[in-house]
Amino acid sequence: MDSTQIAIEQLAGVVMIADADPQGSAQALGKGIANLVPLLNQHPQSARLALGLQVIAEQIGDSPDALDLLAEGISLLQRLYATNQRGSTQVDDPQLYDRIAAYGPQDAHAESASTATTDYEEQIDVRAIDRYAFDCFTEEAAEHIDAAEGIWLSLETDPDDTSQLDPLFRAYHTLKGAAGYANLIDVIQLAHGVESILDVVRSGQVAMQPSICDVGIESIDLLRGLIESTSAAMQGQSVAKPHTASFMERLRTLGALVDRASAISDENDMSTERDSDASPAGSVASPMLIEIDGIEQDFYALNINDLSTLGLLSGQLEDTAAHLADETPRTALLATAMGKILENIILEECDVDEAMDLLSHGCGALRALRTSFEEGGEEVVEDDLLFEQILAMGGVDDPARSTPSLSPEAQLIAADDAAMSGSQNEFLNDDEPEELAAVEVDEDIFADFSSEAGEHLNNAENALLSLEDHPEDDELLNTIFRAFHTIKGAAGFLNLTDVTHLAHSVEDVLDSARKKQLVLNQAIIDVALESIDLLKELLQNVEHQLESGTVIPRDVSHFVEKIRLVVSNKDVPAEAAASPAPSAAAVSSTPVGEDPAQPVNTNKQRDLHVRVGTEKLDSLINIVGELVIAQTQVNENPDVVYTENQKLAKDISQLMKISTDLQEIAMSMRMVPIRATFERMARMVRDLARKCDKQVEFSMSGEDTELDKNVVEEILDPLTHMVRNAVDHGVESSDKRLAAGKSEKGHVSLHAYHKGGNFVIELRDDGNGISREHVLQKAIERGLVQVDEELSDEEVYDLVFHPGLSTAEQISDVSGRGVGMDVVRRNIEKLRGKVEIQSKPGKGSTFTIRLPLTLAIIDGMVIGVGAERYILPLTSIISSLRPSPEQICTVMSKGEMVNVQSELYPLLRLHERFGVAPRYTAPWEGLVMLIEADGERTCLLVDELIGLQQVVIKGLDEELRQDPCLAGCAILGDGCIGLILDANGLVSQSREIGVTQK
Amino acid sequence: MTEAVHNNAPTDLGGKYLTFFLDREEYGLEILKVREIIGMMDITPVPRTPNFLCGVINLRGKVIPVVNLRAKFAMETVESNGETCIIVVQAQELEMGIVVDRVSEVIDIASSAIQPPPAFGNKGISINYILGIGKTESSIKLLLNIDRVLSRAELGRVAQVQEAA
Repeated sequence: MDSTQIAIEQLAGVVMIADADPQGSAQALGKGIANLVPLLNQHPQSARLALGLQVIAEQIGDSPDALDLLAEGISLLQRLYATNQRGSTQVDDPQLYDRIAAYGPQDAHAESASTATTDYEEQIDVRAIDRYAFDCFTEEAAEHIDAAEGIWLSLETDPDDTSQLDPLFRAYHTLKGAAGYANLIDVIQLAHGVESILDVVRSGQVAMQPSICDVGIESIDLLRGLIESTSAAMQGQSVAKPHTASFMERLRTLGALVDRASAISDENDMSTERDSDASPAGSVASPMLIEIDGIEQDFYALNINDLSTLGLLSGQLEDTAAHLADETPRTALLATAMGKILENIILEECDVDEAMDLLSHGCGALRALRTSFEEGGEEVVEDDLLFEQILAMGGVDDPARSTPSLSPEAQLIAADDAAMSGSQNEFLNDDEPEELAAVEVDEDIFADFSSEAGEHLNNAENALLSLEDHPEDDELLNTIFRAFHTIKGAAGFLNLTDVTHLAHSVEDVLDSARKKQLVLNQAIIDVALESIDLLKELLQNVEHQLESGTVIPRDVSHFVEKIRLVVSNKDVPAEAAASPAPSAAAVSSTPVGEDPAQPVNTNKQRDLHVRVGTEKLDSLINIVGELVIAQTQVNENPDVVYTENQKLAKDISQLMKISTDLQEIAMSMRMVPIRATFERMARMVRDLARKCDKQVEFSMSGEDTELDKNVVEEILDPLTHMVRNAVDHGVESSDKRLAAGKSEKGHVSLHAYHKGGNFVIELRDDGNGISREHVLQKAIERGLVQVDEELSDEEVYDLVFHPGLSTAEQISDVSGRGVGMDVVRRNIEKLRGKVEIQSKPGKGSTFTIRLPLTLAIIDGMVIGVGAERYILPLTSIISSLRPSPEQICTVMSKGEMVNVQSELYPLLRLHERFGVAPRYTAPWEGLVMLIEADGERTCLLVDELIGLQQVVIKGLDEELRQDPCLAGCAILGDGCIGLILDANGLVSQSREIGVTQK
Repeated sequence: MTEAVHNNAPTDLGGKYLTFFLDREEYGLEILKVREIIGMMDITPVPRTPNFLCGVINLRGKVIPVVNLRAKFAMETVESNGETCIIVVQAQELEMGIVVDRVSEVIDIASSAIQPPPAFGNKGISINYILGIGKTESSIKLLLNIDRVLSRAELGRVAQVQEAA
């Protein structure tokens, strides 16, 4: 008999004597059942029964029948649990079971009836799934699922690690969102269920328990199964979809448990009401409700200063509104209004606090409205005042209220007009001040924006043109809408009010077209095309003005007015359509001076870039390399060297010049400026500073210095780590800085430059510096350094990169776990770079990273062994020597060691290792190379040093690289192939030999 | 894909073949698999690879592995001479060179002249490598299924076996 059974027996006992003291025993029963429920999570049936019983137990005081029912129920539970344990799900008294279960969570019950049907619904309906969206989804989903799996697994061993919950929650949230895009209902429901549970856990109301982990891990498998089967179905194979019903059942039960637990844990805590109330964990909501849920969650996670997420949410709301419009126009209206309010916040046209307050209520109202529709088939506005407030603030009129007697058709037009006048109002408000003040525009950001916007505009233009032929194509319309929407958002961010307004007004028109409130006619398309031209012009205008430093937004109200006229005067568009040219001319001749030749120029400029696949580029570089080698061979051919034909000699030297130029150009094509990486750092510094509550200024120089694209990609991670450290540990808080007599703001800067064939990045901060004593003390504590050892500054700072040595006194969530710097060094060394630290206590530190310009070329030492030549990376070579016989000693007459300056290093005979016939077998006849990798050294016996050479690295097929001592191969000056040795492999190999020989 | 080729009876096999000699046996390669024929050149040996893998060569900037077909078919190996050459073939996704004694000719073999490979029982002859046997007036040509002779798995597998041994 297990503990669960004992618990049920005890309950049965309490029920027997409950008559004597109903009140007391009701409490005891309630508690008993509450304790029992978590034990039952393996048996959803029993668990549901218990949940029902728990509710009944609470009613004992109120209804005399409850006690009887409870007694019957508990005995049923006893039997059911025993049956369940035998693996059967047979209920001996289904009527009673249903009656009790009905007391439990509603959704669980409702779903139980449909379980039977869902189980057999095995064919996947792929018609509703958008193929392209699905492809995007699978790629993204795989990543998230993998990530989530990893987190679940680590949570299983360490359930208290709450830092993992956020990424896990995000993974499911993103998955849900992405699945929504691809219309994968099953995935949405599943992800939603898990997400809801996680949300409760995340809020700290319920602790992570093994049962949740189990369900989570199972959800991973199911998600993978679902995606796989859907993808197979998309390819026309008929596959059975995995059974999700039983899992969903478990999910629901668990959701109910978690919910209940959370409800118990904060009965008195009103603030968390939303979590348990608004999103009943585990419930299977309709896709629409899930969508609203998503918006709600996004809203609560919203950072009011992050304009891009605001814009995203606003777009999401508008999309939702479009989805809702058919069934529930009023909900749609509310969503639209909320979207508009968010937009107003972005445009800074309303009081932020008031708006956010209204929005937070709006989210609840949105959900309530939709729920009331789904349950009752009717939209019931609970809070009229709130509803109207939101609509008023969003500038959306309620057609049902203002024009109750109109026909639906007229209502549509009214809504359209309302939307128009709403947007008009916005502009009137804005036009009022009419000062058109100069705006500060960030040049770099603008450059990005401008090229992006150009692309969007071109897309929109193309789409508009095809829309002329296919006016029914909603996808085209959406493309155009999105283009304008994006431009508007970005322009708002940049303070380009003219662009924002224009894009906004066009977007409004498109939006009504999208909602079928407006039929697109020729005139509207014309005006939209015109607006694109005007937008392009505006952008050029800004570009132009940026050079002179000030940007004066142009007055676009004429054109906005024109758009409005064209849209509203559906009957008389002829005039506007017939004469688009003059109006455009009128706009372009507005006060701001402009060079008429400009437009042509910029359009051409954009076409100057060609996108080329890296594969093509690589093969070009390859072939150019070969060309140079072939050229060299021709040049060195005795027939050419000693030729008496002057013309030939001249032609060949000309050819040589050309091929060298060609090589240079080819190599430079892989080079990209480090700017983008630096800019990301700038953003990170800002965010981090805010998080750590410090004031940090960031500056950079040399951001246009170019570097191989691969290196740029690889350097991002280590650099991120180092910058993070600089902000978190380097720069002190304002108080400390002031106390130390420094300026209040800390300063972190990045500098890039070329030096001696290397690319150098310097990261400087003017913070606390690294305390030499501190590092030393730590190192001594960890036994890395002897107490009496004398170390130079360099050596001490080098210790910072040692694994497990973190100098941060406090581990923050940002950095300081001691896994950072050693990874940084390893990554940089992988790029064949070096990193150094200079630091002055109290003044700050400088980290210097030296990188090769490209990954494709290494400086190598060509060595000869017998007839073969090998290349040893120069970075790994310490020295070369010809030892005297006395320097060689053997261990047990096998393992050879070389005594170099009274240190013993193992000797690896390369010829033996590679099975090559050598010229010399005695180390004192050949040459010994001392190499270092991973902090360990070893000696190699070779025949000769041939010389230093820069070689282009070529990969070696995986199958050919069975030997750990090989890193790849390279083509030598004479066109032959030399194998590149891997210092790490060699060192570990010689260690192995040493071990086996001992 | 190789399955399909194998299962489809010789009817589909007619076409142009490049033929070459190994010892006195004449072999045929589907012409579409052949990239080019180059003279013998210096081959850089790679440690820890199967014995039939001679090493790698530099084919105009590309590094490709070279297989000695004689060694692969467990025939006696010989020194290279003026006629020895390397045929560069495309076997599935791998570009590879094969060392052969002598390249012969390109001939058209009608599908009617191609017989399925004979069953040698278990005498240790891997007929997996043979697509069929082409008969011409003068001689018999063994048509190679080069995808099987030189698959990635083949290279990797043999290497592993050697490592284990």
